[in-house]
Amino acid sequence: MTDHRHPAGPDLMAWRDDELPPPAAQAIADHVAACAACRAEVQALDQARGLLAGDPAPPLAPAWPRIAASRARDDRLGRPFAWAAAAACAAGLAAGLLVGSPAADRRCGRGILAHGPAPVARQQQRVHAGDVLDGGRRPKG
Amino acid sequence: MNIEIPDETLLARGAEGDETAFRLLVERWEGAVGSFLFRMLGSREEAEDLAQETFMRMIAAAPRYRDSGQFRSWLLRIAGNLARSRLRRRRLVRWLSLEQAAVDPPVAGPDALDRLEADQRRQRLRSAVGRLPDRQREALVLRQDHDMSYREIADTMGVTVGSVQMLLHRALTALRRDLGQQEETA
Repeated sequence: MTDHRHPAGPDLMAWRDDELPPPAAQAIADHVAACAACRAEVQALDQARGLLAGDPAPPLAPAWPRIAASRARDDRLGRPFAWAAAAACAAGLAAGLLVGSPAADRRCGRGILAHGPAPVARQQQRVHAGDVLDGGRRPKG
Repeated sequence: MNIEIPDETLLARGAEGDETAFRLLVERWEGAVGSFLFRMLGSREEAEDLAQETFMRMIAAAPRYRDSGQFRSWLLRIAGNLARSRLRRRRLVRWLSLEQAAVDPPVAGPDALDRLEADQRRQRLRSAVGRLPDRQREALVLRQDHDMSYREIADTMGVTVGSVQMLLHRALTALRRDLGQQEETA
């Protein structure tokens, strides 16, 4: 029997995406078959998706050459330099805070601290998935 | 054929010092990571920058990776967190102005007008995607470009499946409304 109440929009979309369990999917399928308004809603969602599908992202430059170069540079510089660079970076950070430069913070958040030894307390924490995945955020304070 | 070697195996080999394994992994995933970051940031240059950072973090984390069969979600979670962090730093998402520079200039010729119109349509669409809230855009891109299930998107974004459903629906609704308004004013 067809349910005459319209399904919610997110449920219609999930039905279209085959993301609903069979009983719920069947109920919505029955409703949509008999409801022009819901068919139009599904069609409108499909159109919005179609627009996106027709606009692929442009290809980017190969990543490996830059990664390999960066790793080779880190290997060449070695640990002592990394410590010195990290110290310089920390000094730069302090200076950056004084003049409000986000660039210094960004630079230090990448290259050196990401691959060199640990100059700050944050590095003493175990590098857990949450640390790796934190997007380079720095603790406040 | 290297394409048959599972991601997790390559990652483990890389962690043991096999640089070729890391290279194969990067080459296998750079398209997906790059397009995801481009959609999130709207800038080719920044997408390339953060793609490199994503893979550097992947390599750094390789020794501690626990195989759960969800390598793609794990990798795109790194990329997503980096993208959101970058967007926070920007404070203001300058999607439109950045993306204008990435569109090829129209070339004179018999189909120049068609190309110009196509560029303008693409521009409107990318601008509309860029105006979505970060989480909605992320869910939409993972679904549309990467064909992820709601479960995978939830794992990647660290939210519930129900939240993914809401984010996706809001994103599509906002896109329809935004593009519809643009058509009316065009």
